[in-house]
Amino acid sequence: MPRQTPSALLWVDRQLGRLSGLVAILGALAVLGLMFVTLTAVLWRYALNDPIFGISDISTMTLIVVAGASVCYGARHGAHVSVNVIGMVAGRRLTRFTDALMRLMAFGILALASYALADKACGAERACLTNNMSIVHRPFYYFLSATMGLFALNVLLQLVVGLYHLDGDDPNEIAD
Amino acid sequence: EELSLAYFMGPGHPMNAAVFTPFAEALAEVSGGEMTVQQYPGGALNSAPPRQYGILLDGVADIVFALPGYTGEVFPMTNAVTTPGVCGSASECTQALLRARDVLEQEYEAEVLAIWANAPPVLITRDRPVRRLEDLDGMLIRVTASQDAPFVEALGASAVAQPVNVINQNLTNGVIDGIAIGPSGIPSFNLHEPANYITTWFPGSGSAFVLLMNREVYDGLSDEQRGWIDAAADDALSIAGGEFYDRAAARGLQMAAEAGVEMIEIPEEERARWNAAIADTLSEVRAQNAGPMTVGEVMDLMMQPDG
Amino acid sequence: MDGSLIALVGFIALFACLVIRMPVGISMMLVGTIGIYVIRERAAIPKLAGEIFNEASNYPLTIIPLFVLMGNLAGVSGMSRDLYSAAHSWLGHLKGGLASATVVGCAGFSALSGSSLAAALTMGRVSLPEMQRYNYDNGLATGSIAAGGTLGILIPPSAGFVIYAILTEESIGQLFMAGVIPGLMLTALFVVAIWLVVLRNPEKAPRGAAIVPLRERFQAMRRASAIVSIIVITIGGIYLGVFSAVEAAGVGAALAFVITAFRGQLTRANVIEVFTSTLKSTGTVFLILFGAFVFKSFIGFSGVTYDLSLWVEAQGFTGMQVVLMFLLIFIILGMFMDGFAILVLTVPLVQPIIEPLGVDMIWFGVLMVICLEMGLISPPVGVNVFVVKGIAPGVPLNTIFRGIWPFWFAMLLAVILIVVFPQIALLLPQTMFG
Ligand code: NA
Ligand code: NA
Repeated sequence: MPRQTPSALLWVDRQLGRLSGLVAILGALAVLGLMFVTLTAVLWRYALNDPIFGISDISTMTLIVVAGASVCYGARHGAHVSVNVIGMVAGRRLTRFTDALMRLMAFGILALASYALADKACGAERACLTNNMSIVHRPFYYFLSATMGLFALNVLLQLVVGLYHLDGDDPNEIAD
Repeated sequence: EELSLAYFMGPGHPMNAAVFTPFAEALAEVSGGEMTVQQYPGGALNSAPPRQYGILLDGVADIVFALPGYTGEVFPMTNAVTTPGVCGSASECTQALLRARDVLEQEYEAEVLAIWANAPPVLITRDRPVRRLEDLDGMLIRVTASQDAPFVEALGASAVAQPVNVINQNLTNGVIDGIAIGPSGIPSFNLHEPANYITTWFPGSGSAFVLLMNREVYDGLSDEQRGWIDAAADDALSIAGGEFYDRAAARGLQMAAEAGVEMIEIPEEERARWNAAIADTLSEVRAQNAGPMTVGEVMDLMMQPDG
Repeated sequence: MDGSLIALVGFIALFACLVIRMPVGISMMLVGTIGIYVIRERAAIPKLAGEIFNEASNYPLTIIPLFVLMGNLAGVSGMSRDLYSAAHSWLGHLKGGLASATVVGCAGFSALSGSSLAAALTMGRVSLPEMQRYNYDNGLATGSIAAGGTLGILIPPSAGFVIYAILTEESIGQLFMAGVIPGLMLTALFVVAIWLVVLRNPEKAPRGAAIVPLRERFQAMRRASAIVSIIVITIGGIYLGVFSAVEAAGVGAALAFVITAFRGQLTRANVIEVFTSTLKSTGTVFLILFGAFVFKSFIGFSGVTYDLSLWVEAQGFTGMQVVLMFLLIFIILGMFMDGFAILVLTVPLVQPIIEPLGVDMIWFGVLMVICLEMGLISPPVGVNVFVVKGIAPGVPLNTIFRGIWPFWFAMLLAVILIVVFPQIALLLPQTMFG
């Protein structure tokens, strides 16, 4: 008999899904923004022969939003590449334990990355500014920290769900 | 005791032979081999040059090579050395920095082991020779740092910031009309290939370079060990950096001349016209705050001849 | 402990993480951070944060989301179908012509998309039903899709070249240009491979489509002109130096956006589909890069590359010998591992060894990418094969892998040709403006 995932876990899953949906909207807007900034830079240069000084600084900071959002959104949608050799040679009897170990370690490093990005967030005092427009890096560090944190929570949820389904099929089992 | 030294150029970069290795050798010598330097070239410890200062503060490396010009706002006093009129050669600009060294060191949350500068910029163009002030009108010029931009605009041209690795391509295909850069950049980026003209004088002075040491690491050393560092990092090290850039500048210009690039000298009376064009901008810049002083006060400190 | 030994332990730990299915980027981040901690404790946390921030704000990487967006828009706007239809109208009636049209369609779509998966998926959905309708052999049909899709990372734009360029600090524009002629050559070799297969075994392509009148062929080409214009503007613009690679990506995405809107395809569903899949593909690349640079930093601390290059130097190997050895390793690794993973794992080790031997890194990049393409379709782990399996659930994996071999050997031939005649790769980058 396959076990039902407890409703509390499903509730957590829904909330994480909602959050990463918000992140995805932000990321999509940033991709669009990146397109417009790049286009504007080209048009200004060719049509008006007057480049906008340091516009690449805006691209760079927008790219951070795209990067953080896309990594976080991709985490919920199986975008992150893993190598499934074990799935060919061993069955669920082994992979349920290796998956649990893997998720535990993945949660650890992602949580650490989230902490590191918040802890090392820096501004003018450490020369953390863009080269031309002197945009302060700090808020972008916080954004990356938040997205890595959300990623970590997703992995933690998968770990708990996986342990709950240790005797049956894991709904988050990696498939090809 | 082994100190890690991080820089982002390759180990074969001449700056290594001019400054980093001499420092390491001097340190090994004065300490009788007790203190050595482990080099991490090629960005092994940090792939993003503007973050060199950050990794030093974080203790990722004990010693870093950094360019204060990447973040002009953070090191306004050091970057006063780029202002037009401060100095005329890499050695002069290095002397200017050393005159103000005690004041400049306050800008860094680190020990300044050496501080030196490259040669003032020349203007490299492809299609339009620049002989007179009017020739600059409407030109699109790539500048090294944002603080150079207002002067270029005051001369009637437009300033643009671009990563240094794309400027050769952009000059070639006419994305930009000119590049204001220290002549040592000519061989580094093969600028003699797209260039047809070099105007050998352009308003601006040197860009600063620093070799910095993590302060906690420095303070954690014994008095004797600190003495070794201070001895290896005396003014002669900085002066060697400046002399290196003067040689590199001469080599760059020679390379361009051999490649058939026309060298354009700007006579004194024409220079006066250019200087008059930037005079208002210059006084605005002089009035700006630079740490506890104004840019003008720092400049005066740099330009004051030794007594 | 000696730095090289720590690095060796690191690599073993990394493979252990990969074996238990930890995502590649996370594995590298984990092992890299621990490795740095072992060598220099206080550097671990700053490097973890610093490298993530550096890559997230690495200006040339702007190319990735923009080109991915362009490819996805080309999919929903029907531009990729136009391309297939044009190829179909010209080649469909020939021997094995539908398979050839698939490959040519993939090559065209590859000029808009940086991903092999997207190319296989997009063209496969259009071309597979067509080949099945004409009773093509399942192996030939699925093999041509899986192989054609791999052109996505050879013909520019290519996420593989972008990552290679970021790791080696080579010019993205030059690498893109270096992929053009090899990409066209490989397309031609694929067509020849199909022709040979059908020649030996005519029942693999029992009948062709009806001959399309010339007028209709030109009509099909006219419909495909939108996508062709975007390709010409972006790639031509890079070659002529009108745009940087980043700018070309921005302009290409904007053009694709306008055409999609013009065709009335900017529906709510399409917009959601385009942006979510753009984010997913972009996220894949960024997580791998985050990990790769933390790991690269660890390798830098360990000093192992320096030891290795000294060792290679002492052995007196020539550049060519070392290159061939590495290509062989890539082909073997490609059987088990994802191409991006191989790229980010090996390049930081390989570059310091081969660059001092005078190896042209642009040329090597092209060879490396073709070897990674071979990995995408070689058993047991062939990512593109799995994608095709997803579109053709009725076809057993074994059949697909059996259909792959002619294409795999075509790729091997391409590698040999480029090793012998480096100009195939280097002509365009050397003559491009800038
Ligand atoms: Na492509
Ligand atoms: Na494979």
